[in-house]
Amino acid sequence: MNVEDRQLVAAIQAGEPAAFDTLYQRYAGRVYAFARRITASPSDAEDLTQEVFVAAYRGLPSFQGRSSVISWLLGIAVRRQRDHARGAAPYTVPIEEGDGQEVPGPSADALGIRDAIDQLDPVYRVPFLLVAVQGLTHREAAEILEQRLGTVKWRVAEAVKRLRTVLQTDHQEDSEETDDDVSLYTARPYRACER
Amino acid sequence: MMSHYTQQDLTALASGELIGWQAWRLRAHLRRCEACQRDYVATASLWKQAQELSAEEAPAGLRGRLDAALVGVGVATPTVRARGIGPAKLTLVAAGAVAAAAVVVVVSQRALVTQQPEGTIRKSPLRGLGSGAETQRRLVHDPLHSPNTTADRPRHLVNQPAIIPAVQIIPRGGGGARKLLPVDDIAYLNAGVHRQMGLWASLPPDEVENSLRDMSASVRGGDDFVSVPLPRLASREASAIRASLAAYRAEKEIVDTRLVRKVNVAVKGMAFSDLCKELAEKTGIELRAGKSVADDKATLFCRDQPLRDLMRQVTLVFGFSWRRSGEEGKYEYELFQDLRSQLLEEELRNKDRNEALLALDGEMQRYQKYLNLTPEEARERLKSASPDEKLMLDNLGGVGWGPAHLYSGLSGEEMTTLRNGGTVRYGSIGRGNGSPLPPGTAGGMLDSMPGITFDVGPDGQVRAIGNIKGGQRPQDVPGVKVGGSLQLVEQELGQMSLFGATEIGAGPASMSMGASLAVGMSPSVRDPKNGVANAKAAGDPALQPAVTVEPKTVIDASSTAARADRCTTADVLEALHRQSGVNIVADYYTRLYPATEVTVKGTKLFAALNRLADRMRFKWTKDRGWLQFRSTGFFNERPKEVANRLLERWSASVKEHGTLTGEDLVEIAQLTDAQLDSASMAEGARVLYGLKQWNLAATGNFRRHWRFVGTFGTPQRKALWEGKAISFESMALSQQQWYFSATMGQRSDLGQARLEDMRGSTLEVEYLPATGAGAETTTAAPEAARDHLMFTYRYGRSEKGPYVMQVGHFFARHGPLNNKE
Repeated sequence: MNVEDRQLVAAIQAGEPAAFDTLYQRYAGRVYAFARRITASPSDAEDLTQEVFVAAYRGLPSFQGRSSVISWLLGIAVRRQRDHARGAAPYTVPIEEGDGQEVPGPSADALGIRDAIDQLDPVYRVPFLLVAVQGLTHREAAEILEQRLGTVKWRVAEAVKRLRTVLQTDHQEDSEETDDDVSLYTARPYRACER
Repeated sequence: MMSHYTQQDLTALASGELIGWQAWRLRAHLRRCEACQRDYVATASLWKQAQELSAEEAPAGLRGRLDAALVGVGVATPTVRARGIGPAKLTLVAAGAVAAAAVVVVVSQRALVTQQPEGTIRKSPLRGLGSGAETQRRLVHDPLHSPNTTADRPRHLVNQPAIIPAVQIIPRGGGGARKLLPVDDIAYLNAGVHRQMGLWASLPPDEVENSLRDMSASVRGGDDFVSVPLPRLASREASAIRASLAAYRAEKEIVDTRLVRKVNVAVKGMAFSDLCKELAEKTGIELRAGKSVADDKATLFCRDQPLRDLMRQVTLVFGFSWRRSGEEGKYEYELFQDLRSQLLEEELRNKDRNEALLALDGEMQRYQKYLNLTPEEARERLKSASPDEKLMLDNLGGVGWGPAHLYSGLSGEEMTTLRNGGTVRYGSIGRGNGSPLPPGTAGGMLDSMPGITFDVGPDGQVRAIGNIKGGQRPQDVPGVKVGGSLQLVEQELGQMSLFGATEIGAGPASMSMGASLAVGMSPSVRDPKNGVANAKAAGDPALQPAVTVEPKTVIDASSTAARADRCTTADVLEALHRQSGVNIVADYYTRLYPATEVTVKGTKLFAALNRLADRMRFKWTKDRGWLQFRSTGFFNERPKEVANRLLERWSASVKEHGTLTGEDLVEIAQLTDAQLDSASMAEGARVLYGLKQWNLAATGNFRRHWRFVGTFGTPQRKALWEGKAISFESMALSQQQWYFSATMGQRSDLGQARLEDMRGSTLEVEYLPATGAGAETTTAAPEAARDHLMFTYRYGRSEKGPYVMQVGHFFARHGPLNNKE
């Protein structure tokens, strides 16, 4: 955990009200982005993000600081989402897909890759999101997913390989206007992280 | 057949988790293997794109829902009301005339405040808990989420009065109201200081971005301050927390109106300690430079600029920060470099060293296609070689042939040894045993020394090796051995050189001949590509006028004749400022350029800036009417630069004595190796300050001896300057140890040396500086006009008397005393 996070956690644990605000401002965007990729809709992502921060608020007094704050938050997100999937509770249908507000977003390439990531099997998608997108180390991702380090490394690499194939295929489709089948990577709803 | 790396390896490299030798080796492989290079580029590009997805703007309503949910967790309690805080106390922060205001709201459990699209405030117990019905249900019915139970409150809040979290309501559109708040001086001065360092740095962007993202995190959180840290709370008592927070906020909101005073500044390569003093005198505001930056030098030209802007520009270019102290109306400001900035600089240095190593490795890879040539074939091919090939073929046709082959087969361990400054040896000649030579190289190495012959006595013993007339060819001498060695030397910071030697010997006789195989320098430092980096500014109307920049050249202070062909970066920037009138802020490190190379005539300012900055290894950028210049290798140049106060002191000594004295040279030798190794600093010391004997202290040959002399007290040194000797017996134990290891310790032929053998040993220093016109410290100068310097160590005993070690110009030798000429 870096110095800023340590100070922040200490401030929250000391009861400083503005500190949790800082935590939210610092990490809400990342948690939400992660949630968007592992849930079925924006509203689910919003719910999950809220749950993560509520859980974080409740858990902060006992947070030992053995991992980074973002790793801890994303770990909560993964576990919550896994619990939802196990409970088989029906997800609410998204009522609003956005507020119409234009905000600076990722580049066109990144948009392409976002679609491609969504097409990945969750087995590869979640480790990839944690490591490549959120910048966690393979070891941190392995701890969150409760998997072996080697497995996570392999899955991230496999995700990269598959993404490259899909993106390459997409580019070819764009240029050649063909209908190549990429059904191998069709979208599937996220169920649970493999253990 | 070349094997390829796996996707897992490439992914590890792209993620930055592959480090050290493994990363280095993979990068080296990428240079050779097109397939892997292609895969890596695709992977790295994918990685970069993926990182762009790391954050999305959280939905606008989420914050309000979270606040409401947190109240449900049990943050607000009746205790608050008991302390007199009303149920919905609102504090309007922003300017009243503006509708879009930032509102800080303190909520109680009865009045939940949620954000509305227009930034209005609504009271609603559970409104805004979200569109996700599932969540709403859970929050309402799940006992874990039920409010107002002590057990549900976070543990740290159970035994103390509850503190209500402030809810910040910021209108949609992102902080419009925030902009209306007065910007505190310190925030303004230090804004983006670490981010800006990344702009100057020449590292792979992902590395820098990661570092900066981590750093900038410290300045988020609703305030813009960098140097006002979060309060460190010693007590959890609520009133103490409130008091410290109030002090923190008050500190943040300071605006010192004195800083708008306008100043005119024109300084070239001035130390910050002097610059701050000058500014303090002009404005009456106490400004000073902290120890960490006092000797750093800046070039500044501006007219009628608020002091505040000038101070801010300094932080942006240098990565330093301003610290405020004192009372209102009498605030004092200190410029300093924080630890974070220092660490970043160190990191840049390390990364640049790696880049230089890679560049050197790239140079060595160019040898690959010639490694099938024999030395003789290489010599033949040299005759018709292009300039690009000449150096390589010259090396392969001579004693570089063996080392070039040895480099291509280095193991990982050997490469690590090289990188750590060690020497990698092959064969069993001279000092110790090395690894066995790779098969097939011994013959080629013998052929790489065509003129070398052996003088073999009648008893078959080799008496001498060299260009001996009538001597035997090595191939005909029984028991002849060959070996080789490689050494990587950081000649000065940021510049790596690979030296290789071929050794030959038989019996106790041996000979070694070396060559410089390649030099590596970080390409991004060497070529800043300002045209590309500033392409967006190409159309800037302010950069369109044509300018002519003709810098005034300096007078060579070390010579009586004016050498009107060299100028400093400050000279060029001064000319630029005079021509364009643009305010300029730049770092200053001693570098001299031929005037013709930094002159532009009738060129568009934009093109002129690119050309001049590229030539002077600057990166330039434009910021609010200021042109900023930062040296591309500032992280390497900073440790090399010598403080003005020292240079001026030695220069004054030269004026007084006509030359640098022995005391001055002792003092100069105490500078760091980075400072003394720097060729540009040495040139600057001679040309700008007249310290023409600089190299007598700086060269590696003498440096350690001057430093040894520096360990003696003033009376002993005075005796040395008077031509007297210092006896071994009068030296301190540590001095005796140094003396012993420098003399007897170097003599393997004397067998087991003892301390008693040193009795009667002495040290003498002869320093006779040349004076007058034409005096030079070079071998090319006439003998009479040369400086004379000799360290003489008389030590031990032989049948003919004591041994002597003399260290003089360009030589060092051991031998019996009667060998002295």
